[in-house]
Amino acid sequence: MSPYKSLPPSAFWRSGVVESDPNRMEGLYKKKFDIAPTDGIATAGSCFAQHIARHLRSAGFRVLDVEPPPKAMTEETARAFGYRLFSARYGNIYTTRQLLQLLQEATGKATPANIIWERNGRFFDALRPSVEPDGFASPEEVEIHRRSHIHHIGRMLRKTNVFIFTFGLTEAWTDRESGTVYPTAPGTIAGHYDPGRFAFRNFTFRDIYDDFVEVRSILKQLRPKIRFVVTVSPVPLTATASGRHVLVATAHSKSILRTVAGQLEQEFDDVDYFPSYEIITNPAVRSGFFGDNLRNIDQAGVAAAMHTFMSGHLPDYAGDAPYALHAPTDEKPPRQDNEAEDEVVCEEMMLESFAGGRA
Amino acid sequence: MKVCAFGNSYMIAIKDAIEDSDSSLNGSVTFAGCYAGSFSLSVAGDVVKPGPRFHLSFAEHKGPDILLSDYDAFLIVGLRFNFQHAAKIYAKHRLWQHATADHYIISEKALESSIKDQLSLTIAVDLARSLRQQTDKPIFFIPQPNPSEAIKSMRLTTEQLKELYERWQVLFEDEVGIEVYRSFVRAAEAVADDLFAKFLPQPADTMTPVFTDNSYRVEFKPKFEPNPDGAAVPPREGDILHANPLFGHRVMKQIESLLTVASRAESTPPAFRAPRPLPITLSSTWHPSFPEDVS
Repeated sequence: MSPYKSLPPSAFWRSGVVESDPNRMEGLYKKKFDIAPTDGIATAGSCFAQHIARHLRSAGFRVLDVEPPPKAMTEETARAFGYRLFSARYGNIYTTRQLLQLLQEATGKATPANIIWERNGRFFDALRPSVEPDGFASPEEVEIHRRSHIHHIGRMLRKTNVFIFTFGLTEAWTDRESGTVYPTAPGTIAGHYDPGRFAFRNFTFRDIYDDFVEVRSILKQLRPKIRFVVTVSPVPLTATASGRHVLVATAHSKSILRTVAGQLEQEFDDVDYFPSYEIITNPAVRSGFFGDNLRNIDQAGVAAAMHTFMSGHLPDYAGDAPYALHAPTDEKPPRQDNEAEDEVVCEEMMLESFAGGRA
Repeated sequence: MKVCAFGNSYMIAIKDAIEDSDSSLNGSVTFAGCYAGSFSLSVAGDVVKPGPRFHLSFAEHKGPDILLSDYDAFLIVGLRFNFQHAAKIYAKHRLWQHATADHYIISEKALESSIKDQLSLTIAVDLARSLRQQTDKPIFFIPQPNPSEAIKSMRLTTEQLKELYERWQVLFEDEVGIEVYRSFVRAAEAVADDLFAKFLPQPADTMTPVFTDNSYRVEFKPKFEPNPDGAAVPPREGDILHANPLFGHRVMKQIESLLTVASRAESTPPAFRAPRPLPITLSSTWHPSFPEDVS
């Protein structure tokens, strides 16, 4: 009698992957806890996390939005100004250290340094440079807007029952003196790269694990019953400063993030893991959920991931059916990326403009 | 110089100004007017077919349709192209200088973008898009005048007046009003630029400093036609939104100087010219479905 004899089909590669519909894989996600319609959900993370916020909202979940846009603003403009991407206008939070830094700032435990960057006479909040595409008129204005932003994050934290975080990157740029972590490299959206002032950092498993444990601790102090859903962004690195090939650097980064997420899920009853990374990178799709640049996730991929999440939490969930069924064949499905509705704001992509041979 | 003006009730101040006085326009103006809520017309090729609720003031004009090729320039008056959009946004979102604990702070650029978004959804802009698809002649946006300064002190005897008061109250402080008005003007200019059109802001000397000087306030709500029995149009209590022919005269002075420039040029001045087909989809028949407003 083999111990594998009584296992379900999902435990076997052939029945679980090869012969499964990659858009609706059975048994891939078993929620650890319920999310009630009244639960305040806060979302944060890398650009893939923007899809989560939008889909949860449209499915009727109570996704917090403590910095809403004016009603007069169109969705397109709102996205360009960092509204409605997450629960507050913090922009993409790629690393756990950046998240920890934000929570420490919001709870008065620490203050980031060197956060005002300049470009062409305009001034940017270096910790969320993309939310004001043209920057501010003065450094003082950056500070005023940041204080307001931090005030609203405090409000958000006091209302949060479920915190959903998408791990994005291990690599980041930091201020050598203060340790402040930035979402973008200096000189990408604003600022100037000064090697004496900024340092590259590739966070390790231990760094990321410890940072998230500290994040959890801070939030538990504020909201003892808070629960967490963690995911890993399947979006590969646009560029790496690690000195390795970007493919190797991506595997390294994603492996660490996935391992941290798994460790947290195993260790804490209030941390659930949602396998968006696995859904998108499933070999059965043959990279079909990636756009033409092999980085962006297309609508079908987002739909598949969100359908899995929603079905896990809403038994009768019918919406968000896959846009294009990706059958497990060699045939490539039609690409559906670059559709405005599904565009995400990803300042990391700015690095593309610095790729070799381009201006 | 032949000009065709499209608009709603705010156009009447200009129409009356021209009809009441000797205009130095050196030409003629055809007014095609309709209440904003009923405004519908179709633009197909050279032909503009006004909807059934239109009133046309014919000046050397023949036939029920308007031929774009008959005119040298087009005015778009009111049609919800107004400062009110900024006032509405400012109720909740304010520049940091003016914000209190009850407001979200918004950057100048985000405020302008919000206003621009709203202006882009107006009947005026929809009409300009349709016209611009067919002609490269000058198009001018003339905004609805800002409310009369009387709004600050008038008795709020109706729900509509209370609503208007609350909407505009946020801009009563001169410093606040001026700042927001500047944002509106920049947004309006940007909208016009996108259509290779020209935005004509309300003449500065008609404002105090943001609301319209009381001397330009209309005494009666204007109508496109007198009552069928010839009786005087009954006054509408508390009309603080429409301006009188004196105001229309001031606006015409603005237009005249610009049209003079346009007429002296051999062809359409570059600032007004569409250099290539615009990347927008033309709806040949267009029926806006905006909620009724005071126009």
